[in-house]
Amino acid sequence: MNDVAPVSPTWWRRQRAWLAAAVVLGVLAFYLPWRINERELDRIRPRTAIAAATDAQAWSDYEGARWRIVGVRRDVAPVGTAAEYLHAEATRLVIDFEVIPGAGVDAQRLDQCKGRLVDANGRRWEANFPARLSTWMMRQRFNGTCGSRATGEPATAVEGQPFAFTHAYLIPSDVALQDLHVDVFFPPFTTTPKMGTYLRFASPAPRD
Amino acid sequence: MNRSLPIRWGLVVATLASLALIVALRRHEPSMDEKTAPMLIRGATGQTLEARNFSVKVGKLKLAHAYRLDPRTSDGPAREVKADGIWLSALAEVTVTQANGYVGAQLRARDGRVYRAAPADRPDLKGFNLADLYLVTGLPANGAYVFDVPIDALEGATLQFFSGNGAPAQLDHLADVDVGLDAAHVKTLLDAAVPMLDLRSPERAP
Repeated sequence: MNDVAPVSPTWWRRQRAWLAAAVVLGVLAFYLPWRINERELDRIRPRTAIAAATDAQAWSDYEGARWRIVGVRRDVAPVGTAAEYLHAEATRLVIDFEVIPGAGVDAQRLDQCKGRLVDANGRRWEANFPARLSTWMMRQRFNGTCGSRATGEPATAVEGQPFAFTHAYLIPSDVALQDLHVDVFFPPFTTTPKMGTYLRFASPAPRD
Repeated sequence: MNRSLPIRWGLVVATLASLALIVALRRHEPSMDEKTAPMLIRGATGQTLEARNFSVKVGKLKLAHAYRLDPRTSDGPAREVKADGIWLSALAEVTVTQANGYVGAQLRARDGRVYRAAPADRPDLKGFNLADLYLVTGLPANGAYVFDVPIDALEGATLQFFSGNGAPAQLDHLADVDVGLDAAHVKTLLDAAVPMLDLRSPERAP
């Protein structure tokens, strides 16, 4: 029963063009939507890391400029003093950067840069937020923007010359500092040649 | 030359059956809104619910017809904020667990009506009204969500919490907390509801 004649080898030979086309179309049906999705994710999220140089004081290239961390400090934020609500004692982590803009990178472009801190579990903190942390930075005369300084003596980054700025983070006191990563990124759809890139530093040990 | 193709009835029946199946399945296909609806996680008062980017624990509820608040200026009169329905406040501890941001809340009545938590400026309780409060990852906030709701929406209502300060996002967690608002509990809360609840800071209250 159920005697099915085997497909002859000549059938495969005769149909090989159709079969090859079907395989190609099948692969494209998965690949093209995947590629569109990847491109969309790159457009909206900084998700491709460019590892910064690990040597202390070494410069790293990112978005037409050279970047480095020059200092990390820790500061205790007593209960309820650093956010808009009554929080437990926390830590202000202050990270000083220098950036040297390259050709065609002006202060306006650098001012689009943002910072984030990421721990080993993927928890993230936004630089210079909440608002009360921003106010504290102003009182301390820290400059939170990457390309221009509004606090103290006004200044803007100039091509070929180091410009100093600071990112501060409010984090719980129990976060292990040695496992943190410090990221600098631009709006993801503006980075070239690939969208969604960011510069990732391993957090240097605080000097406090 | 006139070669007629034999009709393969089995194939015709299989094709029609397949088409009928496709039409039936498409008719019963969930809508895009249903497919991407927020994912409910359920809990109760006193229980910590863990959602994608936050955890929440709801405590005591209180009803009041109006709140008395600190004046806007140091020498101004105390402000009174009357509810259009009745003020329901729910003490809560919220923590954002993955990234800094907001945790929003809404009251869902038994019949499906939804009331968003009152915004940060009504009642203006800085640092205590958890609506629109920017939270820092890993630093819990203790305060209250406040809802201005009709009294008839209370019985059977649940409180729902979500990431962000807009509406619950599609394909994200919606924490649904049963706060035990049965008829008896609502009556107890209504009996205890004061016409004017004094929420002034201790140094300003008489």
